[in-house]
Amino acid sequence: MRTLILGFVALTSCFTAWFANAEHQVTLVYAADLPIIGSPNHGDYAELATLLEQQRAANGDNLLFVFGGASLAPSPLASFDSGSHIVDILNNLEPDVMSITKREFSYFEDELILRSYEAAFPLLLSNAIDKETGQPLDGIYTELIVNKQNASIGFISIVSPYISAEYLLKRLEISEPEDAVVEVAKRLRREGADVIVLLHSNMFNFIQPVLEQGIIDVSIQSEPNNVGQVIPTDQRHPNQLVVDDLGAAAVIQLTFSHNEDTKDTSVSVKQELIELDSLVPNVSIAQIINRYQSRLNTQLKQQIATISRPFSTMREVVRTRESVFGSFMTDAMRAEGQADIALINSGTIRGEQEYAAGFPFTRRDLLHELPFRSRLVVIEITGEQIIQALENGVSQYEVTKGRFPQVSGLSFSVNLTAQVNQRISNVQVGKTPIQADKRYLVATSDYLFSGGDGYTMFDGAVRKFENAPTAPLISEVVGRAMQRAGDINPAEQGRITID
Amino acid sequence: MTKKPIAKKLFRSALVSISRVTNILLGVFILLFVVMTGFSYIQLKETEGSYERISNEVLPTLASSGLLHSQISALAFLVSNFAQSSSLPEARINESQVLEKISEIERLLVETNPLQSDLNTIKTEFAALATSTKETFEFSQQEQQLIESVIEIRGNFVFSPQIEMADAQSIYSLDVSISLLATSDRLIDLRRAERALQSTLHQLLSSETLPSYARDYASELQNLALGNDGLIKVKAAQLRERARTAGQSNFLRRFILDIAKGAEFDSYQFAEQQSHLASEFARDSAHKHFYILLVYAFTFFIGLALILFIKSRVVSRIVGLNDYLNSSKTNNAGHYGEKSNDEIGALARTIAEQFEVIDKQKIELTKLSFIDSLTKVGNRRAFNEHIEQIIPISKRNKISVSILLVDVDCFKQFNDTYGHMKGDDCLYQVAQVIDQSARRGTDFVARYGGEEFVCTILGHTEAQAHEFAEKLCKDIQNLAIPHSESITADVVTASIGIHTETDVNENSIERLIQRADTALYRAKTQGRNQVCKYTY
Repeated sequence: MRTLILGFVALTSCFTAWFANAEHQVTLVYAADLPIIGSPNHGDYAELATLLEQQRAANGDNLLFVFGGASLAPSPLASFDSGSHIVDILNNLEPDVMSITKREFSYFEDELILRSYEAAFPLLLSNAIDKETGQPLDGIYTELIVNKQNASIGFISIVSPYISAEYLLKRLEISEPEDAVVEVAKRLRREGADVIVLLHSNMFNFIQPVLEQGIIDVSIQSEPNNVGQVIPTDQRHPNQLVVDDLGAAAVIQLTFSHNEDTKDTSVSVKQELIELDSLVPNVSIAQIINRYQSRLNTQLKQQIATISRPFSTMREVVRTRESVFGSFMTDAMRAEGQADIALINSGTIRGEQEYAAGFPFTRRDLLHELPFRSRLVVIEITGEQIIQALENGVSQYEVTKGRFPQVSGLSFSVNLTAQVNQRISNVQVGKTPIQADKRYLVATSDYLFSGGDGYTMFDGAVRKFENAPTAPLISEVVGRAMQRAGDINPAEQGRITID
Repeated sequence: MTKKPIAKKLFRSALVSISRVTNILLGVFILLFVVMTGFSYIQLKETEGSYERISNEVLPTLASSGLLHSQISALAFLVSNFAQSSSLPEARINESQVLEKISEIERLLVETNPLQSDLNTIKTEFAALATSTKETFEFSQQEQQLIESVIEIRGNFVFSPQIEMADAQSIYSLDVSISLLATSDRLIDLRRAERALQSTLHQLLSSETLPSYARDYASELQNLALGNDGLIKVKAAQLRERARTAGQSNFLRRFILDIAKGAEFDSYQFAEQQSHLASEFARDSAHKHFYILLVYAFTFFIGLALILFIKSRVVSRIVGLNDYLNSSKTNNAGHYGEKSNDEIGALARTIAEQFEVIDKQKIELTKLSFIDSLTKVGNRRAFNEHIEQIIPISKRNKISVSILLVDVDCFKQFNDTYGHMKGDDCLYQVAQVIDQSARRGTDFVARYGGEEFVCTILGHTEAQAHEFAEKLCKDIQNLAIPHSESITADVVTASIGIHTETDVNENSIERLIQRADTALYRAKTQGRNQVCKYTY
């Protein structure tokens, strides 16, 4: 067990009257980013259950279990049940609140609404409404006050507006996060919240000011992958917490007092990060997890390839350069679609794994890498549009965004010193320089076809095989190609040259 | 010995051989015909194979994959139906329908079908879903029973005036909390209601004014709600189970729909592939048909070329050759203009050469038949031919014709004296003298018979003819062939009868000869060695 005291601020300067300036304590157990159950790399829900048991025993009614989300996807199982199994497990852990992050929208709005119906706990998102109804998404709370013995804790949860475009959320209207926070916080205060906790996974610059202004009291950001932006520790407000350790839960002690004279509430936090794998798993939750893990086991344990050449699917690899897995994947898509080229956003590859030679690659690994239910689409676009797509793909290279392309049947050079939209050169289709006005068949995903990840140039393109009743899942296409090849070793290299 | 075959060979190789050309054309024709037949046969076999494959593989596969897709889709629907069952009996009916559909699908699958393993997963998952669903109903039944118990207890509870207002309010709150418990459909609401209930119970049970029957009532409700098998526990379990069931149902439906979509896509892809194969086959067949037509056309043209070749190079020329031979039979057809360097050309040339030889021989024979073998001048037949030819010319040109009949005097005696050898030589010398005298182109000399010669001279007047005859008479005598038994001289002499006519016609011949003969007779009777003209 490791203890990190991120902040302890005693703002309680005067204790003139117990009833007026009484100091109260509430403990929060916070966990997030646990999409994979039974992961060998870190502890998860069974250990979290043990921690909750311990904390509930120690704190009684003054314990809140706050689940930070980012867990309904992506995972092999979620690709089948869109996160139902996580909801089922959480139902047994009984979170007081679960905040919604962009990952919860992996299977779009309606699936999330269904999960909220399955959930025995409230799912919270404060800055979004359903365009069709003008109301919050059905089943989703926009604000929440959890009453505990010592206090009423108000919760706000926000997402960044850009996720609408990133996740192609057509029904979701995301309002300005800061405005939402200010507005909801006021309402929560009115409704008697003693402490207001903001939950989020994206970084927002306004958080420090709203903490300083006392609009909210505590913010908790989960960023275990350390790829997004977080405010450096020394610049953070003391109550601005970041849980950036994968497989760890935070035990957060909120100590607050209310000054009747000044009408101010002072809150201090003490955060302790608990590595979940240091705990003994809870037996009944472990059983549930085992049951889910054994689900589809026959299918998922099926070995489909043996790795002959080591490769990585770490995001710093697949999102910055030509990768073995990306090349193999796009080759398979190109072959299946009988297209001239294939292009996919590297954000589709989610495994974050290093594969050694001889590794027996199973269907589970495949779904681990490609958990999204993207389907193969073949479109006909011009060389000019392809170049635009490549420019878009490298436009956010510096922040390792998932839009970075992995390609097949295509080679190009990237000049990172050039301005955005002028970085691509030497584009060749096969061995021939690309022709701006020539039409090419491009195999890609339905996500990019709908303009996801900024690939708006694909939106509205002529789609081939329109009469097909359905399109195959890209994971299926790649799986079949792996079974045929028995390996993941794409022939061609030198597709992407980074200068 | 070896020269001739080599030359022949060289000659043959120099020929543009009809047999070679015919053989080549015939060979090409047969080859094309065989190719065409083979090609057509293969094409027909391929078409037959394609139809067989369509009827034996493609249509059944399409039908079975379509059926499979519809069955799996139906299964997804039945699973949804099951998950939405509102009562245990309904769930049992729906369950049996699902199991029935699964076994129907199983029957459709051959053992090797990869869907078999998916179907096993569906069975396992459905069994789990069925268990959860039944448990949810069991929890619902338990909940229902507990709620009924609560209702019964509450029904039996009667407010009495002994109850203080504050306690009455708490009892009322207790009722509200219990109602909230029953209506909670989320754990959070349940927990909220639970906290409210606990708080109310705590307040109520700690009240000192509460009558004992009301305390018992509160305790009973506390047990029913918060006990080990109480309403809250049952309700929480039921909510969890219901969520799990919903999740499992969604999972299973998604899984089944994925399989259905997979089957549908496979079916579509298969149909697309088959359509692609069929169109490729059609395109291929069209190409092949084009080539077959090409080969047919080529074969036809080769056949036509063969026929035309045979017609022009063989038949026509043989007909031409035949005409030539036929015409050669009747007259001299001249040179046969065959220049082709082939067998018929060679044959025609050989025949032509043979004809030339025959012509030469014929001329030679003709010549021989008109020349007297002893005296080397024309014979009587030649004279007859000649006189037949010159009379029309003379008539047409009004040219005079003179006939001289020359008879060697006392030739029998000569023969008797000097022998036949000397007699023949004598006749030869006399003939040569006459022949040399008649040097003009129109002059003609022939042996008329025995020691008698005839000479025709054109264009001479009677006097000129006479003069010519006189000179001839002297020339014969001047030969000085000794003739001791002659009655005219001691050398050989001749008597000449001459007749000249200026207006001759076809009827003049006999008269001309007759009159010349008469003149000769007179010359002989007048003493021989002289020239007598016919006198009227």
